[in-house]
Amino acid sequence: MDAIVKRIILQVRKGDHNAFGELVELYKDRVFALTFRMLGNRQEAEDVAQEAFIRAYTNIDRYQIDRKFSTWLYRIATNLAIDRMRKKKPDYYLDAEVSGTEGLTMYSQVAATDQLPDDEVVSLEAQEGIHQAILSLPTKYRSAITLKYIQELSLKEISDILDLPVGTVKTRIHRGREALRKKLRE
Amino acid sequence: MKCPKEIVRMMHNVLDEEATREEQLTVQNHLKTCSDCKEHYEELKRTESFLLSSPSLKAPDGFTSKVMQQLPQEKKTVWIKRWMKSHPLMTAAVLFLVLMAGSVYSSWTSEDQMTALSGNLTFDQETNTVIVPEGEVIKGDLTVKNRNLEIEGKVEGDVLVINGEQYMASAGQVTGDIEEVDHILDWTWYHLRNVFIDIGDVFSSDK
Repeated sequence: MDAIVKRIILQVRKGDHNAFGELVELYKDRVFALTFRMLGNRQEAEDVAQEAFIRAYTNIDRYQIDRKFSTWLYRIATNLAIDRMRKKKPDYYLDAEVSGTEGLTMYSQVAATDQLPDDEVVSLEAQEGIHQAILSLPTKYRSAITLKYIQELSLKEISDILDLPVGTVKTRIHRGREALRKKLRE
Repeated sequence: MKCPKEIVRMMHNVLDEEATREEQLTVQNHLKTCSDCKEHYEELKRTESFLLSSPSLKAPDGFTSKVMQQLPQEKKTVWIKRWMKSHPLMTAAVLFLVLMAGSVYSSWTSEDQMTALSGNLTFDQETNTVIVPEGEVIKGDLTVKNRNLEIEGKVEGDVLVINGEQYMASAGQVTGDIEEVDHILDWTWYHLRNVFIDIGDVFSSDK
């Protein structure tokens, strides 16, 4: 796999569009899954995933060939997704209690907005639940949890992608996992 | 039983497969005796399996082509190389034509020259004319290039005049064919024909 990716990248560096197409095919699902879990909206996730690939193409000369390509690509995608999340940060949190009520959060006020195509309706309610739970996490936990469980990456890789020490990544995953545990209990 | 300090942190380490042997044992032993922590651990495990079982997502249809449309233009050389790879026969044909045209053109414009196997020729510089003098006999084929040719004597062979004119005096005599090539197209045709004749010779001599 790595050898194939390297060969493709060398072709891309010579300016070969078709070779880059192969690269997109190889990674599009994983990059999309990453941005979708981070952003929770298919359209936005697609935009950001596309932008990530375009950035990868224009910066391909900066990629160090001896490193893992996926790490570099996920880093671009994660940073773009985090930027996007910051921009659209709502000025209220769903977790926050609705004023004048006791224990009632904004969750109860929001209808499920994600419209899924028919073939995906099969996904269980629980999975929609976990998706919403991930989306309710603060950005820094959300990115760590997504990389660990959706992309199934090692702590070391996550630390490379997020440019954080492994210890910090560990802490974020622990806290994120705790937060999810509490959510799923409800 | 009193829960050891940091038991939760150790549980997470176990989940991350980062726990030391010691931590693992501590957690294991503690969970046997503490139902609260056991529940906590079970919930974390469940959370984790939920996360891992989330359906694998597929990028929307047409994703790749949308990305490709947004890429900056690719370099021309790459396009040509790819075209050549996918059309090897056409490439060979084009290459052949280019080389052929090159050699034909260069031989067309190369120095003026005349060749004859034997016999004396005279040259009139003013009219740029090669003359086969009266009474002279040229044995073999005569080729004149970028010059005119005037035949007053006799040529025992073929005459070829390239990019020039040929005059035959009434006394002149040529035993072979006379050919004038005035146009680069004719010249190309002449070359090609020779190539095919040569190829034909090769095949017939094989038999």
